[in-house]
Amino acid sequence: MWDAQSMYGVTPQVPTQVMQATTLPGTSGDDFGSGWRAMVNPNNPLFWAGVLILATVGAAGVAGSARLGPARIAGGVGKS
Amino acid sequence: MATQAQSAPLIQGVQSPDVIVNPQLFYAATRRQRYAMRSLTSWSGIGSSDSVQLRQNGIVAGLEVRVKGTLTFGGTIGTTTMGYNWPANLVKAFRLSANGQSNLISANGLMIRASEFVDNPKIQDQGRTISFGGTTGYTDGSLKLSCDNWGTGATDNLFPGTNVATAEAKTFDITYFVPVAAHQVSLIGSVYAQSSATNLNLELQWATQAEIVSALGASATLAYTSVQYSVVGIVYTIPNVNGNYVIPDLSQFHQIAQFRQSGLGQGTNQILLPGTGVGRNLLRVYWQAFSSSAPLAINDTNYSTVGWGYGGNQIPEQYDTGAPLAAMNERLTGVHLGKLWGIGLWDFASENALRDVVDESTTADLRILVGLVSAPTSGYAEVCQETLFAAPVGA
Repeated sequence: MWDAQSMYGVTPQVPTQVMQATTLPGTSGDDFGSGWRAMVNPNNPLFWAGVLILATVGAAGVAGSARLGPARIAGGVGKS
Repeated sequence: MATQAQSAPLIQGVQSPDVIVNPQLFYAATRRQRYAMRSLTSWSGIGSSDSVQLRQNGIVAGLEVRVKGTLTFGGTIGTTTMGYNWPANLVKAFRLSANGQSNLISANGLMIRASEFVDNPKIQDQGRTISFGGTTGYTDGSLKLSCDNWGTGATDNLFPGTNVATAEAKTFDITYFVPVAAHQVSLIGSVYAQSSATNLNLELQWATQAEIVSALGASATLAYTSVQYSVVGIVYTIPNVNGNYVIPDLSQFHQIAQFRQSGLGQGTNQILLPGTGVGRNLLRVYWQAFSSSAPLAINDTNYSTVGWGYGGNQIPEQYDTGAPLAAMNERLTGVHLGKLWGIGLWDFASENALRDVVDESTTADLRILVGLVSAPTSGYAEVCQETLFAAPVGA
């Protein structure tokens, strides 16, 4: 916001750049931000934990059956 | 993710420790300081100059300069008249050099005062009764601050272009704000001073007696008594946050450079702005036109076409006469710049700089149009450009 490019439209002159995280003392270093973007961030361990759980549960999570009176309907992913 | 760009060890061409460019982090952690770069010191004399080596500390955003003393008129006063350079142009030129850039500021006291009124809408000049050009009773358009003393004697006072009635001592006290940064909030255009490798110098060039006193009675004398000046710097510390030094965006230098264009004639004078080029952005242009060493007020009597242009015949903004320009300037700045001092202004930075600033890489032959209704006597113009240009950086 407070830089020459956004205020005056001038071409940035900063040379070779190295991205580096820095926070004010007393504030938390939130490396992943928040919200859905954080949940799908590959750098977030929770993301990979979620992938592992989904792989373990597998297709069972989407299988199911229903009984409607005398008729019975059943289905599931991977069943023939 | 809170990330910042870590700059190379060259900032504004000066070797420096590794720093992180992060304006918001800098604002949160820095400390504003005001301290004397030069305490009240006797000047070197009328027509001479004084040089002030600024301290190599922090980030310099502005300089507050004060000049005070006494003009003592003696003998028989006769016809003694103050020139239009009095009082602001007692400082004929402020010259600031920093980090290898000479003349970052190179402008007279009046243009520096005008720039302050333009950039700071909180100050105004209304209700201060002055004489100008021998006419009494002006209460606005003087660019006089309430705290200014333009020359006060026991019997009468000193005013621009006005006769001095009494041979007596007259004290004066004037302050200036020299805007090192283009924008005092973001500090863009500030000077990096945190290095022993920097060379920061402010030169105060004093006017000659002939420039501030247009006529001195044949039997009159004038002595300059106890004239002193001081310089206070507005400096921001460079904070260390989590082991990293943090600075704001110092990629640009701020320049206020003035030049004189002589040979003005009747009709439209097209005055080319020198030094334009790629990497430079024009924020404002101030100008005054003179006839017989008196500024021409911005009105329909004195001015025909006024505008600015570039290229073959690209004229983005123009008025057919002077009065609309003066009105536009007053609306923009809150002060009637053209009434007495005859200052015209094209301002590209005050409303929306991102929208209006003139990129000089796309405006060859950038110029202002100064149309004069009548042929001036020994006509000339003082033109002042305020620009941003890229500061050198390392890779």
